[in-house]
Amino acid sequence: MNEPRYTGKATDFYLASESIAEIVNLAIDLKRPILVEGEPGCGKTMLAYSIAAEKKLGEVVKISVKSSSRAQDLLYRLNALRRLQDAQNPNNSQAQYVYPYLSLGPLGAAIHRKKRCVVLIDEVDKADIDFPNDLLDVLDRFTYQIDELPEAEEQQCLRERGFGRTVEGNKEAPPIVVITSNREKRLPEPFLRRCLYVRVKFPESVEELQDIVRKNTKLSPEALGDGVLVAAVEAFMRVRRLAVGNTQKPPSTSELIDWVQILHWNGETPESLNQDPKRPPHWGVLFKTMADLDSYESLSRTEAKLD
Amino acid sequence: MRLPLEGLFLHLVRSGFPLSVRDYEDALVALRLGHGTLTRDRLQWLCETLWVHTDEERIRLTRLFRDLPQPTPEAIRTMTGVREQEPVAPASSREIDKAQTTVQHNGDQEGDRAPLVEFASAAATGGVGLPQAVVPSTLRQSHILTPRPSVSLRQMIVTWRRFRLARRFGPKVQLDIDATIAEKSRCGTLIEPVLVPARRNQARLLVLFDASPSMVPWRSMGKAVADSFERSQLGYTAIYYFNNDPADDLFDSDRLTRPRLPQDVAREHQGCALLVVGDAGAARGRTDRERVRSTRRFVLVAHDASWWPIAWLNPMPRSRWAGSSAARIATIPGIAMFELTEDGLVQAVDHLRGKGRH
Repeated sequence: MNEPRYTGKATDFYLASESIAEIVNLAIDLKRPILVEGEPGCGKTMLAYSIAAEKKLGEVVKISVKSSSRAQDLLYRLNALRRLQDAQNPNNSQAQYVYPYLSLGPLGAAIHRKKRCVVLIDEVDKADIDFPNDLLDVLDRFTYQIDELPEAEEQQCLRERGFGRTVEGNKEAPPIVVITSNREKRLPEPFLRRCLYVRVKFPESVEELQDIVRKNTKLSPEALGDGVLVAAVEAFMRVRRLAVGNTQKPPSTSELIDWVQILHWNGETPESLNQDPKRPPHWGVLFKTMADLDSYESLSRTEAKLD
Repeated sequence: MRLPLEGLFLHLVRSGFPLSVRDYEDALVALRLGHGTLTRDRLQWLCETLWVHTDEERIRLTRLFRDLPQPTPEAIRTMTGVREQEPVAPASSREIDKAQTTVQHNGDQEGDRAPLVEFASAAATGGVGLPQAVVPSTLRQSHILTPRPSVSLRQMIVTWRRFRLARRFGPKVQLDIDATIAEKSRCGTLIEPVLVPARRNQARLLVLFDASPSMVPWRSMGKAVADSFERSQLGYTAIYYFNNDPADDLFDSDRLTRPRLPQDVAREHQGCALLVVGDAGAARGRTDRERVRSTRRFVLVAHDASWWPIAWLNPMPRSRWAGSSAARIATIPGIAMFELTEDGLVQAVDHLRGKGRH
């Protein structure tokens, strides 16, 4: 299969470091899931979109995990309640079969399609402790069983719905699975061992952050001057340095992008951005909780006095 | 002929890396596809990416790559066959053995020195840190000291799940088949199914954790217990800390700040099963009569607050209880004391759900 290698630099919305691109390529070659961790807002989810865009694999199949998510729901669902209701109607003969009430879940459908795609399992740590382990076998073999489908109905289901009791994916080019975690809970050991691990770090250089802002805000150098952008990124880094360790969620790239957009709308200048180094205009946008806003407020005032 | 990386892989498996043949096969496939070849650094990167999952393993692998001698050109030719210029890391176990001998030899040379111990500052948790061996700098080796709770977080979560008291509670989401059939029989046709709330665990657990200096080695355990509650599926949980004697003040934090009066806690958490985690004097190994008397009084307070049953987990092995306050506290009626091990925790939870031997 001649797919282009992932470079992490070919899309206009995401920049991945070389080491991340290498791990992504290794995971794709070995058909292993990619586990992405990093602080919230630093682009874990976007990595999946960037892989899909760069490798031209179409829409990303996004699965947002909830605390009530069960691994089986990702593969298929049986609408038993609907069947029960249908069974009440003597004219409805459909209810004597199970297969009309089966529907494939997002991961199940992606495996069944047999066409390479990117599956994003977002925030896996939100789910129950057994969820990752239940998925392990499916992500390993890209094959699953629908036990609820009676053997007697298998052929009919195959003819009408296109799947039988065993659904097999494309062994040569299985879905590229990207799993993100915010590390709210520790994931089970066997699951960690099966995934290739990518840690998305916060970019520390001004140039890299400038690139990220330009790519994401789509503001041309004419619309947003380099002077303002550099001043904004530098002011942001000052705020972040002070916030790391002192706030629950220090501002990250997603907050930076929103903030620069607001600065642009308000016509801020490099001078206005540098007026108060620790408290640039609209700095409140960079924090997400009242507690973080309060702690930064008092911290920046103390720092200003010390300066 | 030896396969590439075979020696290294076997060495890692022997030294406790949880690797399977599948991991080894993946590395071979990756090498065949051109990942991790050409330089020793790239090969180390490949092994790290595929086989390493903890900081401890990373340090061990880095040390291994650092200590192993460069392979001879003949070895490279034998191993790679094709790429002669490729300085692949040594893979034969003979070389690894040689390297181990070298390290061992260095160790022997340093063996005469008395081991040094320092109290490393434990900034994260405060207080006096744990004694740690100071490694002579000539060895150039960093020691890996990873604190691990006596019972893993996962095991703790799984054990809490044994503690169940299921009651129907919350939104009506489950089908009540009997009521649905009865409704259909009554009306002749089914208008809508009868739903009932799902069964949820309503078990209530209060944990009192001894955060006194004698419990410093198990301090991480307190955090693990609190973390495990989030995923325990217990109906209600709370944790407080105490200094040696649970009959004294209870605290909100393991740094023994923010004190709470036991009466207030009793009022707030009435009717919980009680789990106490503490060494009960076994760490110091002597009997303190006043402490035993005070614990007896505490049992009465617990009884008044309907904290029942009471299980006590002691991190000191049972053999160390004899001759200390722990042995006496373990015999106080109403307290069932267990060792803080995986089995002990299971027994304690069984006791809390009323199935224990006590």
